Amino acid sequence: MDHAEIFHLANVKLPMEKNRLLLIFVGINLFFTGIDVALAHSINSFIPVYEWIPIYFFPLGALSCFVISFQSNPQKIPALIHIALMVVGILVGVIGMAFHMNAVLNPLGHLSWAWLVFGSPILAPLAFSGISLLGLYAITEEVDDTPGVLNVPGLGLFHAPISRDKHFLWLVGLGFGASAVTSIIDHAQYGYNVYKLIAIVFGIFATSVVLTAALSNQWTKKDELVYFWTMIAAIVVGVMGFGFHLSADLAGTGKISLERMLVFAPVFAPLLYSDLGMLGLIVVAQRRKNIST
Amino acid sequence: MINKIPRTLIIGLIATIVILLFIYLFTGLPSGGETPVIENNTNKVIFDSADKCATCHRRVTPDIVNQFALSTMARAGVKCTDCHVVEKSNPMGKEHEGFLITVSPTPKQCAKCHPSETRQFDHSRHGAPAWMALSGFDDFSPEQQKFVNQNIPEANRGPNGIITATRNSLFDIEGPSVTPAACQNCHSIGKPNADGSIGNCNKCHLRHEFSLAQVRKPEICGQCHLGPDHPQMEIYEESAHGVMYKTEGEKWNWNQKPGRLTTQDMPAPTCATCHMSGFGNQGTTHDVGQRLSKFLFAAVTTDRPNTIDGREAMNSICSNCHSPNFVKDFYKKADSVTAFVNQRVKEASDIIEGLVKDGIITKKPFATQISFDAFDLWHYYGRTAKFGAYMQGPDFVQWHGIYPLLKQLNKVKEDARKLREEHMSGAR
Repeated sequence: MDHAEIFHLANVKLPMEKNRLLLIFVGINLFFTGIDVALAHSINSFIPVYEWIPIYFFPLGALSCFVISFQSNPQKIPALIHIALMVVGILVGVIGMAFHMNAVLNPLGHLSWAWLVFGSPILAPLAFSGISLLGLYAITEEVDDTPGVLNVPGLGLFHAPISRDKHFLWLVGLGFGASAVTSIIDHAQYGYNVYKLIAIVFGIFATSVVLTAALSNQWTKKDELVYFWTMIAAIVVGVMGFGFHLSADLAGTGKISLERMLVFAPVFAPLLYSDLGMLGLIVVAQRRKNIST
Repeated sequence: MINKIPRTLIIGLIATIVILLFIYLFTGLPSGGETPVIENNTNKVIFDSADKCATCHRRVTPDIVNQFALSTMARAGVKCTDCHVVEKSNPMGKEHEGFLITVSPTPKQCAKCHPSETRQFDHSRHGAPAWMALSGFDDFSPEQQKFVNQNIPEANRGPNGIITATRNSLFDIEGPSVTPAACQNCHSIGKPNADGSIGNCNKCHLRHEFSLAQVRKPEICGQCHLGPDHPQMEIYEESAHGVMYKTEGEKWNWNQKPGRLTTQDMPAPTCATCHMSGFGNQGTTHDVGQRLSKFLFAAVTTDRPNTIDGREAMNSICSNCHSPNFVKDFYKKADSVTAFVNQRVKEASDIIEGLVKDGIITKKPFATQISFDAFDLWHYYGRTAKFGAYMQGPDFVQWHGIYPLLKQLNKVKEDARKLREEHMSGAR
């Protein structure tokens, strides 16, 4: 067991080293994002044919994360394969966004609010990029705790402009940002109400808090407190959103329709907030060196 | 005081307020987007392309190319060849400018992209049973017959489960000089195709725009479901649902994505909303019988094989707008009309069977005036009353249904009495 603490607010027992835990987290995220994309693309029978790209990628990416997570010090070949797959994952996300953007722009030749709201979700593919980037960082180590000097297994040292922890914070912050924007766009389909504004307001707030933290060099204990409770709130908001979406899909009848789960109120989408909340806590968890492991 | 508040919280709150204000000012936080509609001629994906088919056909059949250019299929990158080109083994294929094509793509072609929709269609009475109502099993290949036997519980079956559909007598009497321009037109929705598939998607999804809005409107169903033998279109027009459609329909959100329809898009239903659309907790279906509970078209109405599930499914559609008590009461009244009609139809049927049994009239259908009259009794008036009862058409239950049915029953009784008297006097 790896003992860690989240600031001075919570002592946690990590079931394994933080990097290995992050890799499993990335693997699970890739797997479920892939399933979600497969279901979404299945609605139009994977047409055009490039809708298969993420489907081919996600099992490989997830598998690589799980395999690497078994190794304390990743060996060169598996590490290089993993790095290659994560780079592919980043590209899949960026290319996917371009395809989605094209699908939204193509019909009218210019961006319209209606197509932005009802067309292919333009930011959704970036989930693959974000998760893969996380998977890439998760196999690196900061050399002698020198901020920004990363040891990339199989490739040697890499000098990044900011520390590894800051990278993670940027990923969490931008993840909240993308979720907030998606929440604004998706919820516009049926008009806004108080419940839907929870997701929007909280998404913007969480983005601001995490990015402020990423830009700060020194955190006060109060800042840590705000960050910690924002992440806890994100987990709660995600679960609440799951409940609201499920309730909307059941339409008061208690019967499940896969079609509504996918295209009406996507039932698992709000859990992205919970996911980011958990990630936000994991990335700031520091190993407690005074406790023997 | 302000120094005691953490910087992260201050920045977080200020950023949230500023961003929300920004969004509100610049987008107005639009309430309820409307699904995008392609305006005429904004999409020339196919029309202006170098696509080999389009190059010729924009001169030969420009409207077809233009229609398709406006379709969602064109926007999804579907090309003419995706639907019209067939494999070498397809008996419907014919050589055309270097391509082996079919002029009329069948569900086999549609299934390449829409497998669930075609499967649902295949299992419905819009599939094989529609054509079997005319030809029985005669026109189906052994493979198609096997498919129907194994897959369509709603195909006409006897008590032992064997399909009993026989060739329609009127279809034979009228013959090929009439039926291609008459009953075949609608019933070909389930006609077997030479490529092994059954039916024709184009019957409802009109070529070449394949408009979602169009296929959701009642006029599409009204192409066939009209007239004295199945006046669903006229009944719908009388119903509150139909009046809402006529008076408010132009404001409805016809292009909402499949599966996302709610009462906000359509405050009243069309035929498709209740019978096919993903609405409330029901997913989209192309099995038009999935939400039905009784064989209303039959002379004597019986329960469908999926009667409980069917009624439950339709109940849940109704419950998007109506209370459970309203729906229960509605079904109670409609079931009562059905029982009333069943009793009268059986009475007329017994009279005819009695005449046949006693050798007064021939068993051959449509050979005597009384057999035409008995046919009209259930085929026109009985059906009309039942459809009217389940579709909110009181005038069709009363004056186009039950009243002429009673009058017709009286006529059948009178005519039967006269025939018996004539038969007796002839015998003497």
